Amino acid sequence: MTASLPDPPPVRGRVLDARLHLLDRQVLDLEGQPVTTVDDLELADLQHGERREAEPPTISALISGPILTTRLFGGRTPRTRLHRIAWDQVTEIDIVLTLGVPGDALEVTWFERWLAEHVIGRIPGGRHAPD
Amino acid sequence: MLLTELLELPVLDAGGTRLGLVVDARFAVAPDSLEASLLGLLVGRRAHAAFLGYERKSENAPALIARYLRWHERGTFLVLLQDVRSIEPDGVRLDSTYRRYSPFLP
Repeated sequence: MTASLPDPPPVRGRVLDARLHLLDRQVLDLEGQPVTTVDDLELADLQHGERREAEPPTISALISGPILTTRLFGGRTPRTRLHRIAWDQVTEIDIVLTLGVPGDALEVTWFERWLAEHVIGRIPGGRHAPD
Repeated sequence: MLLTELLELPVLDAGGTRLGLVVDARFAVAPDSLEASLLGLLVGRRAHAAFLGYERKSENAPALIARYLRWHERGTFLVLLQDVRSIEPDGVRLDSTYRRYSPFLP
């Protein structure tokens, strides 16, 4: 059945399927360091109700947060526990997504930074790379 | 709206007949700005389907897995955003003139 369907009209640019090509992909920062993974996408200009907008909705942000339990058991993670990375900070889409900013500048890495400062940094030798 | 609020919603035609579930959303990414615009929705028969995307690609290896998954996801189709009449918390409704397109990626 699928094979007999017509092709959609051609579009300019690369075509991606969100679940297949974006969700669960690793996100690297400007220096190639892992930052997080893509747990969800925020879509601008898409609301519940009749569609009246002339312009198509766009991806406005990558969303990351503690979503494992809701994936397993259902429900939704509260928005306050989700972190956003603006889509315009994405510079490359490939097997991984690359950002044009250092990871330290992102809200999503605050816990890692807090842990490094307050816990790991207090361990003798914890403030420098291993020799 | 978050993408996961859209995924796995039932898709209904203008008469209310259930056509399937939203299994994925297709975007066009502008080559210069990387702006990703929603093109349409992929409609499949069951939730958590299409995890390897064999029904959308020409890959045929490993042959046995490809054949099984393509059979498993048969009936998946693409609807363009312009054919979507409304998106409600309980489902996506299509226009009466909606068209089914091949889910294969270009």
